[in-house]
Amino acid sequence: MAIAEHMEEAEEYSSPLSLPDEAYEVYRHLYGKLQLHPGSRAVVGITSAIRGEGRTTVALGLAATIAQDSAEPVLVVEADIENPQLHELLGGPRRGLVDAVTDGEPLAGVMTPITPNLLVVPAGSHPENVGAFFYRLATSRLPQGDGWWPAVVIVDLPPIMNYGYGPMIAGIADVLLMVTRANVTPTTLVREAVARLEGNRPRGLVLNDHRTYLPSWISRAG
Amino acid sequence: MRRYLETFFQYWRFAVLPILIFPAAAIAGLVLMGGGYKAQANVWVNQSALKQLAYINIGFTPAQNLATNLSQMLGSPMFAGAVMQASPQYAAIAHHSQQWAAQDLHKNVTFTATGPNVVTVTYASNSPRALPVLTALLRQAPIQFAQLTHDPSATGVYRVVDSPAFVAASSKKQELLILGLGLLAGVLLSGLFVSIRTSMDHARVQLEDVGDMTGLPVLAAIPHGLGLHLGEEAV
Repeated sequence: MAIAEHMEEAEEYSSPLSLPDEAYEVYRHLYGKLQLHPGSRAVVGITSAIRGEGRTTVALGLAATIAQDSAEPVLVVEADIENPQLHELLGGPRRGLVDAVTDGEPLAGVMTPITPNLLVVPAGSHPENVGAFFYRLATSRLPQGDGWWPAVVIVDLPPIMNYGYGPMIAGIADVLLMVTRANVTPTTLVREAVARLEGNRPRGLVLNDHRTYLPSWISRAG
Repeated sequence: MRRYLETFFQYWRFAVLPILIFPAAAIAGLVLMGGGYKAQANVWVNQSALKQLAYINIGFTPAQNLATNLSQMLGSPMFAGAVMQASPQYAAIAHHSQQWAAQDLHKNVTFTATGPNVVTVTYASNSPRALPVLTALLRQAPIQFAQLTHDPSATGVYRVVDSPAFVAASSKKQELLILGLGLLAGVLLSGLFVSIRTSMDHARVQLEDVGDMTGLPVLAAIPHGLGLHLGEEAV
């Protein structure tokens, strides 16, 4: 499917994606720190040590911000196939990453637009052999095909500590970010996850759900 | 320091509790105990009659020597019996037990040399009858001295210059001290709680140290409440 067809399809959607205004600014800062060159077509991987850290939130938030601020098409790929969320949020089961990789077809065939230039690839069908799927994904990378490919691809990767192939799959990303939930995730797990990613060191951490209990007058005093 | 403050404000209900409870308990204790009743009298020592008494130290002032002799007398059941005889009210309190009365007097009566010739006698009691008991004690003590020394002049060993009267059971200074100690205990316990809680939370990822602990820079901190919504559902 050509980009123009995607755009036309997206026009019919009223975007269900909503972010608080302050959140856009946070993601703008994050995107700025990634220092991605325009036109680099970089694959940004969002991973975490364990589940529930907010990878999908960060992946969609970052993608929505880039899509809103630029005219470039942005794609979010859901690679955490055992805990898929996007297909439910998109209104039901859809073909996705698993189907594309298994059938050897390009991702463009399973993309679903959310806004005119924000597309998502849900996890899709559950594979018979999760290990075999992850191995295939890690070795073959994202199936781009010969056709159109978005300017920015953000992959919602499976958590590192939950899968033996976790670090290997993280290798499909050019730039890796690790999401961790403040005041919840044990530091030892994050350290262990970072250690497992030795060959593909994350660019940095994204601290999710951060909150301070200090009164503002103390915070201001530094 | 910021981390401890953060913990304090996060768990402020628990952290503040001991700071409130301990001083409140101290106040409650002061109110409930009430300090009891304290009767006090001052006696003037007659030096010439003092020489007849058993425990005389030439290095001591007359007041100190009298205080020593009076203190020695306190543990005696015989003296206690004499006090009970002189004060039927005290006999009732003591259930007519000389042993009980001797212990009570030994425990609660103090003789303090407040001047070279002045001894302050204090009786602290839970009963408002402290006053007649002290009066009886002061009346009986010289008689007891006279009997012990077989010298009638010993009855004039002292004269009461300030009759027994009630004084404040506990001073403001003492009350403030108890209150201060209660407050200190509360603050210490609160500090201990905050300290333990902080060390427990230290095992969890926090903005202040996650960068140092993992060796990775923190590129963004997404504030609580800035979650994403897709349709009706939060992601």
